[in-house]
Amino acid sequence: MTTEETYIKSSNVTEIILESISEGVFTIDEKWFITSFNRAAERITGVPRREAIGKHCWEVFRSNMCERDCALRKTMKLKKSIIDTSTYIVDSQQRRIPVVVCTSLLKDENGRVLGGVETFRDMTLVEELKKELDARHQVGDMISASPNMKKIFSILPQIAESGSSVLIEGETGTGKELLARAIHDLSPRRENRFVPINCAALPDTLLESELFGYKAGAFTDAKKDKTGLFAVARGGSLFFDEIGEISPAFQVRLLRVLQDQVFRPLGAINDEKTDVRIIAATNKNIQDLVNNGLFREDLFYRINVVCMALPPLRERKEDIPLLIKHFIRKNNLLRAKKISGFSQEALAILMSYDFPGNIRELENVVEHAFVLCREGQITPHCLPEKIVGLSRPFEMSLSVNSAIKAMEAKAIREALEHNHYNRLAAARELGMHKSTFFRKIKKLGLDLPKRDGRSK
Amino acid sequence: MVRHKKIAMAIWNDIISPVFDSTYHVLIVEIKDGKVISSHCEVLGPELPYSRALRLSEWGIQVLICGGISIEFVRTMEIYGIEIIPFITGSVRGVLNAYLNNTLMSDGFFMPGFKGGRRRNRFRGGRR
Repeated sequence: MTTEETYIKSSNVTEIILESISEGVFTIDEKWFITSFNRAAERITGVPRREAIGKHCWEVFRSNMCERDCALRKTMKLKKSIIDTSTYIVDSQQRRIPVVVCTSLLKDENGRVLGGVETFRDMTLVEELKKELDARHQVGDMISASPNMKKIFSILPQIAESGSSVLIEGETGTGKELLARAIHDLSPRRENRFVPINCAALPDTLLESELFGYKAGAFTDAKKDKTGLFAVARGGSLFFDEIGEISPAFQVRLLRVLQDQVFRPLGAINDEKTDVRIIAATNKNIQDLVNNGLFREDLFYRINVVCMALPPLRERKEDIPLLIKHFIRKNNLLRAKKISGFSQEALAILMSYDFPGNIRELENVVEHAFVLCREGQITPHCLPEKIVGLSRPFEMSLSVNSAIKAMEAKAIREALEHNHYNRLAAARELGMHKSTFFRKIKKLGLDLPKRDGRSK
Repeated sequence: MVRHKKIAMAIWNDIISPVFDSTYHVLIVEIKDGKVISSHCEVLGPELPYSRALRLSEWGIQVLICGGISIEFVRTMEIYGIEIIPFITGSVRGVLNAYLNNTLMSDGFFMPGFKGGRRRNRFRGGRR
């Protein structure tokens, strides 16, 4: 076989290989026109080869990288390969297909650059599996498998994107701040700051200087300018935790800022424009506060554009095992321990407890157990006494004990009757020592007749 | 003939952007009685369906001419009543002229692989 024949044969083999691999491959010339397009590329993009060849690569590949971050353009410019860039394409069915691309220069046998070659892998399945594993029960740092929470998770992206003010209602420890953070992280403002402030923790004067800032000399201790949180959060989100706690006087000030979208730092001459998204949270029923005249109605409507209610943990107990798993993983990392999980008994105790402190309390319980338990499984002994004492399994064991006691009392009475109230004979029938028998009678508080079988 | 309409064209340099989801700019064109009465370029915001749909809606856009666009964006645009002419490719000038002349469908401005699909029935070119 001549060298030329060998070359032709190997070219055919290369073509066969290109046609049979699962990775999409296309080549372009120096003017970005597609010169070859393999079968997998047809399948992934939904574009037939006959339509793709001779077209600009961006018309066919339609990737989000095309405009600003094209891997092929980089390869052509830097004359080097680029490996595993993650991106997505829009296929002919308008689906977003996640792909990983590799690009390199296309050269002839003399090393002359003919164009570029791009290979790409369809990552749809991998991404779906990843999503299923990671996000099935998780949005941001919030974990839940409950239908109520899943409803919240499903509408969260739209709410986040809307830019509207959000009021989050929920008992203490239900994850209001996590939800607020998730809203911010999913919103167009995510590149800017999420700034939380606890309204209950600060008196009016401090709250005012924290939020609006002040100029040097505004008051005795104001040595230099202080930037307020409205300015710090500019372009981002400001999270007012426990909004129901702010005083009526401060409600007026806040309302004015939200209405006029300007604020004036203490001691400043000019107003500054606000550009923040307001997310507020409360563990109180603000509507009740409004009805009782404790919260301004106009401010309520200003912050309550979208209202989200977080259910307490007792209404979504199916989340307890998931949350426990999460906290165990976290604590194992933090404390370099090897706790494998909770024993069935310990889990049963937690499942029967109502968690008035909600997820925060559950986290504290896990932390408490980590202090007492070194490795292996967490047993009921490692749980706080308060929870073990209140839990239903304990009540169940109490009832079991009572049942046992009742059975013992019944057996003792029957044995006594059989033996005409002869205590010794009854003890013998029951197979116990007479002193044990008497101790049990005393402990069970059995009231026995005066005759004892010996007194005939 | 297009009587009075405000359209947005997703652009990349002087051509239609390949993917609307990630494009930066739109050319906003106001058309009256088949003629362009004003045009200017705007920067689109974050690459999020609601943000983009909201922005186009605020600008009073009735028709969006774009390249590839994912279904999520399409559905959101529909919520805001924006008609989409997707999978269009070519020079901005050529596409605009074809739209004005009602020949977008026939002049080969569609991207390779596009069969019309579910959007085709909504497309009415410049006949309105």
